[in-house]
Amino acid sequence: MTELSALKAALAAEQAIVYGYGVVGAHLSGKEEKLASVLLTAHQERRDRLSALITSLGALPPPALPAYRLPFGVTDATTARQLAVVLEEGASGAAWDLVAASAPRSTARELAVAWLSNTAVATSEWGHMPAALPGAPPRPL
Amino acid sequence: MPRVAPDAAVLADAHGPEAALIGAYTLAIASAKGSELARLTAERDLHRAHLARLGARSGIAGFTGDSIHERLRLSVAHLRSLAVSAVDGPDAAVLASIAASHEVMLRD
Repeated sequence: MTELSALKAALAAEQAIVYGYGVVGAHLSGKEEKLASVLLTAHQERRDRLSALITSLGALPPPALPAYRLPFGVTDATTARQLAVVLEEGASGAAWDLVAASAPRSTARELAVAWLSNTAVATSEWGHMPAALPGAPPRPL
Repeated sequence: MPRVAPDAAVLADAHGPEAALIGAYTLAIASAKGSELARLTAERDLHRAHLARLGARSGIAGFTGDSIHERLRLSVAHLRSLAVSAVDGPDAAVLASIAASHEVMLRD
């Protein structure tokens, strides 16, 4: 995987995650709704940085889709929390791939290294302990 | 001709702090009870998995003077720096992932 293809895959992942967090937040209240809102903002900012990085390489960022198929029905707070964990684990996988595909000391590598830590911490904030190596393959579906 | 691993020195640089963390956990486990004992034991197992993934043999002695929290805090910055500079992408991903795991433990 080239750095550019990993950046595009990372952007596509973040676009889907931003959509997913909209669904997550709609089913939560109080502190959990606040957490979803904070994480949504973080993912939006990362999406925009990834898009800018792709543009800086002379490529066109892929556009977000109008909607995304969720892995399961989200109908209440329990399934919303489960979706948040799935979203963060997906982000960890995309971050791992970007670390692996990016050049040493590059902006993409620095962003991906920080991203991997942020998603692992976010996974734990949703009450799910990440694996010993967050983001490492093989990954859950 | 055998290939020299480009990040052998980088990975070796990560061995010592990880082994020292295991030593610090072992010291803390000796006096822990209940849920704290379970948490520390689970986290030490994660560090053992990290050390194995770094390619280290077990049994490296580690100095255990600092607190676990301080060692974790220092290791996150160190591992992130190693991950950013690693030549081999998969090695970089392992180092970044261990840093991420340590960051989660810092929040416990």
